[in-house]
Amino acid sequence: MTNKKKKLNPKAQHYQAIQKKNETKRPIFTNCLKAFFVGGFVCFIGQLISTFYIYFFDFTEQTAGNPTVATLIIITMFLTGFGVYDHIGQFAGAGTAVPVTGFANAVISSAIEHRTEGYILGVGTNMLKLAGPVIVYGVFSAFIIALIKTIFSQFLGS
Amino acid sequence: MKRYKQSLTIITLLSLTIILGCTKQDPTYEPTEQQATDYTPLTNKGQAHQSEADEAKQLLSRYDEVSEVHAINNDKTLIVAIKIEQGDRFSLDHLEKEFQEKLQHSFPHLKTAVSTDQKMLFELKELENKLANDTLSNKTLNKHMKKIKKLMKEET
Amino acid sequence: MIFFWAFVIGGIICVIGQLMFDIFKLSPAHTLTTLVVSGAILDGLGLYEPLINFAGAGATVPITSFGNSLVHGAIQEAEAHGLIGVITGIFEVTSAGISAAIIFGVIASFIFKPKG
Repeated sequence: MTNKKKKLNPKAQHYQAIQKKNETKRPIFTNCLKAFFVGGFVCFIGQLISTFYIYFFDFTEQTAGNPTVATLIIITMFLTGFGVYDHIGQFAGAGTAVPVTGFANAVISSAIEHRTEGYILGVGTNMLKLAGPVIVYGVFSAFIIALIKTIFSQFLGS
Repeated sequence: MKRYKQSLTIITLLSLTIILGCTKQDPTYEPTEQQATDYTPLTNKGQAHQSEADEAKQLLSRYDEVSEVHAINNDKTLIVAIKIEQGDRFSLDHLEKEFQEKLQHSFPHLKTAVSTDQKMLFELKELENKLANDTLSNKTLNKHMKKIKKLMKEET
Repeated sequence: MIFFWAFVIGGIICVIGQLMFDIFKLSPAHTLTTLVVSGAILDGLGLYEPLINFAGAGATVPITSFGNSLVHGAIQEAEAHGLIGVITGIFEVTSAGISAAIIFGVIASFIFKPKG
């Protein structure tokens, strides 16, 4: 957007200058600290759940990941439903958005919010609003990377 | 859009730095003469003879990277579970493979299986305790070992 | 010990996300997409698995592990079934996160009332 500055008329440039001046400054360091502690705590809880599954059920380190994620998402469902997750999210920023719980919160809160519009057009259409690009580009990049890696290994191997 | 491109460039550069910094030289591990890690010797206890397991434990406990080792064997298989020092866990897969090869070399008449998994450590520790208290029959031992081998093969 | 590193590494990944929010002013969708693609790239280079070995849940809980699982599934399937596996294997390993989010999203829409 900024390289189109020359094409903007002086009024728009002036507006941009005012906007930049009055923009609320973000306390970057404090935000990062909060994100670190909350995000680290979420992962710590994840490790606890994982260890619980390893010791009390027949899961190994390799296979305990799936039930751990599912458990975290169930917990997120309740936190989102009762409005608690958004409060924590306001405080912690990326600390609650980056873990898989943030992904689940986006899906679940959209589902709850759009229920009034109906299940197909409301819940079904809007649930994957944030999840959409994550899944789309995750799958596409995985495809490209796996393709490159497989072709590489075939060339080096054969 | 420009900010997105900027951030993408910076992340790519950071990643390249990290990648170039991580040279993938596979080190070879040698045992040291220092204080060996403690393990539970089981050779003379109970009906199941654990001499090979004890040997394996003695062999592996000499490595600095190994902080804990548990092993069980019957006449066909040897299962070993090791706990690797936190700092060395980056090369966990490589260590597992190396120890597997070393053990297979030392015990060619047995099928060896090495695991660094928390679950195996826990299971083998329990089996060792049972053996030490003489509360394990050969049949149960074989059954448990089969179960552990199955767990080791599991992948997500 | 692994609990400590789970906390630290998880925290660091979240700080990277926070920096994307604050310095680059990216939206959550942009940030999460970038993180997932980064996770996929790191796994392609073989760097994400050692991180998981070192930090446990600190590397499997953040959204980056999603990218890692996608690549893992694709490569596993390609090794077993040839190049077509790159397409067919992508969702093999990774169903838990997406399925659970969708399932519990629908359940939540039944039982919870929207606020405000």
